[in-house]
Amino acid sequence: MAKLVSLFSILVLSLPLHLAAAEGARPNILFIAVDDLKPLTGWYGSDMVKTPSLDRLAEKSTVFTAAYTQFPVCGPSRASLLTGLRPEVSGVMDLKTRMRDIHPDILTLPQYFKNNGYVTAAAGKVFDPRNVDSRDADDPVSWSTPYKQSLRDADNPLEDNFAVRPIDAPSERFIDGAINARGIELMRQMAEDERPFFLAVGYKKPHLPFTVPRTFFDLYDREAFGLEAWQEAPAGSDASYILWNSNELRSYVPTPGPDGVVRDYPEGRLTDAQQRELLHGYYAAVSFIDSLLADLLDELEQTGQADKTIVVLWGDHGWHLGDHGLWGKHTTMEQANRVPLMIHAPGRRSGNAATPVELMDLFPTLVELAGLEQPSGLMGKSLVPALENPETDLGMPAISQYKRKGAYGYSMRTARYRYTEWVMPDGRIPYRDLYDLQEDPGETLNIGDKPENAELMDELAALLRRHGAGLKRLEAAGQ
Amino acid sequence: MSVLERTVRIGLLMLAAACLYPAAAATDGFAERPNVLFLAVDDLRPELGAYGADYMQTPAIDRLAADGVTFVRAYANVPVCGASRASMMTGLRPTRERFLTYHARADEDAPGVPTLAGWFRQAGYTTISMGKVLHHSDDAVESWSEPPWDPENDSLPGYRKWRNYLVEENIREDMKQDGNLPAFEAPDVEDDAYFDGKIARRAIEYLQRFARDEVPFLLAVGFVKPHLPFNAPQRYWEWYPEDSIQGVINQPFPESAPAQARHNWGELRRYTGVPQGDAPVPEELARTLVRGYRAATSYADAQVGRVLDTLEELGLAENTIVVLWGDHGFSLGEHGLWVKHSPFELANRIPLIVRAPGATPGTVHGLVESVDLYPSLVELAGLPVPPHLQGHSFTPVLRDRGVGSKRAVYTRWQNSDSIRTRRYHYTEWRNDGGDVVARMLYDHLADPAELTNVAEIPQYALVAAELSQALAGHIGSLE
Repeated sequence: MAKLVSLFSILVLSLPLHLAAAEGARPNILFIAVDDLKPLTGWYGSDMVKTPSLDRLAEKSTVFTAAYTQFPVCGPSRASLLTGLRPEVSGVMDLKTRMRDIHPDILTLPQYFKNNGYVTAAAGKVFDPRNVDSRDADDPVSWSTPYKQSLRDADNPLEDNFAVRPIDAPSERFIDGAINARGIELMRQMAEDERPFFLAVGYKKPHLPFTVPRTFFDLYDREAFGLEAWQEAPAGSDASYILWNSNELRSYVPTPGPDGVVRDYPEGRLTDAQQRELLHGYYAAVSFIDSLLADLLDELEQTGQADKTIVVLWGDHGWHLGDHGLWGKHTTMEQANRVPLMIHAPGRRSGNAATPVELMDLFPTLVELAGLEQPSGLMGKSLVPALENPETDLGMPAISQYKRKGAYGYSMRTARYRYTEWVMPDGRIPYRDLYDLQEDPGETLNIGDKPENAELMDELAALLRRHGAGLKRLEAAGQ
Repeated sequence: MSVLERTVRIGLLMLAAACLYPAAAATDGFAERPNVLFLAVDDLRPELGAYGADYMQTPAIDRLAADGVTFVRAYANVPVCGASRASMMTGLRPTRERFLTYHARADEDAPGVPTLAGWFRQAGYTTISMGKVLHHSDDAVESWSEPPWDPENDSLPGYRKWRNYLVEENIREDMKQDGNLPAFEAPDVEDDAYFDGKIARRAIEYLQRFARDEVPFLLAVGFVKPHLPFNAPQRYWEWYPEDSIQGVINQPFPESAPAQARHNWGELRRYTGVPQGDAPVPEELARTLVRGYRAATSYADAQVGRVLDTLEELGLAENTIVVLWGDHGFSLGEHGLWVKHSPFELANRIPLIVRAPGATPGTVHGLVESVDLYPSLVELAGLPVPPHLQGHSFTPVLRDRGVGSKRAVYTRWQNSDSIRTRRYHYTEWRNDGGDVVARMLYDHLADPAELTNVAEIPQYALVAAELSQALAGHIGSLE
């Protein structure tokens, strides 16, 4: 019998991926976004964090270990992923531009699935609500089931901006609990539908503030958290491009001491106690989302749809957890741009894929997996070759970008290096730097100025330009 | 939460409203008898490089921010020029009876109360006012060592009008009873052709005199841009090319906001091309207005820069406290609104930067309000504190971000009163009988743009009740 099974799976596995789809049974897509989640899970190598469900999903997925956002801020990152366009092309480079004000007819990933006979729906934060028509309606043309906003309850409504707060309430009274409930409700409805579904579930933690049920704080011993060793700008770098003052964090406050007085975080380095409190909060928030994910994936099994459902899970950007003295995203560095990305496609091989990939690649990948025709104009590449064989080298760098001091920082990750070039509106390049992630995974030393690297810098600059479609300042300067 | 717990919390919030910074010898380490350079900029919203708006060209203010303390969450107590200035200058809060309109006067609404400048003058300082400091240059004249100087005095004979057009045709129209008033112009002229250039020139002359005479001084310089009309030399417009303003400028008035929050921006309707009635600004004109506001902001910034450069060159910077203050915020089509005159965040949040000897450069995220300026400057200068003041000194936080900040600030406009905490903005409108007739609540954590009023959403009932009670307590404490 066992032999028969394995023979059967070989047969299935050797079928071209799109064959099942071509026969009319298109796969469902469960599309899971996790706000501000960096690749901090057991599978990604952390001994400390407790993420059993993320790790279970990873075990049966292709896990991309070098996946990067195109812009390390929620709204632009999501707009880029969901339209398959670079940020300067989607036009969303901040948290207030509404996508359809710029391009009224822009095509989104769920919209494309909807147009192709899918029932599409979302729970929680998928698009950033600030970049769509409205917080209540989201992007109406993307969803065949009208969007419904999930509302908070126990998320600390009476407290003012504490960055970290254990709360004595069960998960279902938090906004992420409400999002999960809505996701499960939608999944049940959609499983009944004859049409294939595209269900997007967007969790809002571990975004600040780290206000989650106390149970998840209890999983960790605060004193056991180690602090980042390197808490300053990389040696030999221009800190004014590399660092910022973690303004997002600074709009919150640390837990007051015994005197009850609310204080800002100090300028510069946070105290060790403040750092441990933040680490504790972030880890607790990750474990909270992990527990919700368990329920969502269990429900998928319950509906009997699991074996025809592709599960994708991604974080919208990374997070500096104290490295370089930073807390938050908003930089061109590795920790702000590297994201978790895993794709479970039933019948595909699982394993770790180390080839650099971009979140923008998800649109063409899912289109191919569903056996749909590729819409024109997408700027990413399909990751299906890496799903067939995780060893595949897709041969492309991953490019992220951010802005500072009037310049756009184009930051390119190759398998080994991170090369960043800052470009002014007139094409002038005030600053470049280079990190060797193989020798210096913590990005502590800029080696861009070293004479022996001059040639390498030129090569990388040329590589950036070769793959720089949609990096408008480079394109303009090249003309 | 128990009733007791809630009562305690409300009590704490109200206590915090009275703002008790931990006792500290605030002037320790600050300079002796420092000078004060007070720069007021009319209608300037905190959309500046130093506040993260990287598309703005405001190098002078950005430089001041780099050496100074930037208050990220600063509010005017009333969103209209005259009232805001009179309140700030007297250190008294606006109420239903005083500081109500653009033509409010300090010496009428608060007769006998020493103004900030007057208090310095009594202490032996030379106090000088030029440009728009108080709305009326003959208001509280005993505050100043010389009569306040108004640039209209230096205007061409025959055209002494505050709108200060330079294009001949515009001047002709402005002279007529009901002439056309363009909302902007962009002639190719030197900075000194407009009032703000003349004001800067005069400020420079006075600084030179002060450096010679070695007397302690308080110099209040009131720049009149970016107030309408957006007249600025052409080169500042060139920094903001037409295609730099994308998207739709006119946003809809949010459905969930009470009608009372809406106004018809009468100030703008006076200008050419702006439709009468309640029609929106045509989209193309709206975009030009945004460009004009930005150009006028950069023009004002350049004048600030001239004055600050002189301060530096004369060796005065070291012993001079510099304050850059906006009198209120400004809407540019957000919420379908223009100009000021509303309780929304955009109309009330102001830029506030303080550079003081002994202060620690950086940002303060704690709350502060205009009425806090008077006690702070008095304390920084080591003068006795007059008993009438209703604000509280923020001096301690200039040096140490670890000290507490206000839990709440209070602003008001016409028959509405608002409380703003780090997280929430809550406004109530009352009729003459004192009954609440409308209210709105925004959770800035979820909705910093204030698009969804959550005052009537059950999840926020406790928050609304708590803030309402704190607001009532505050108003009661002023009676």
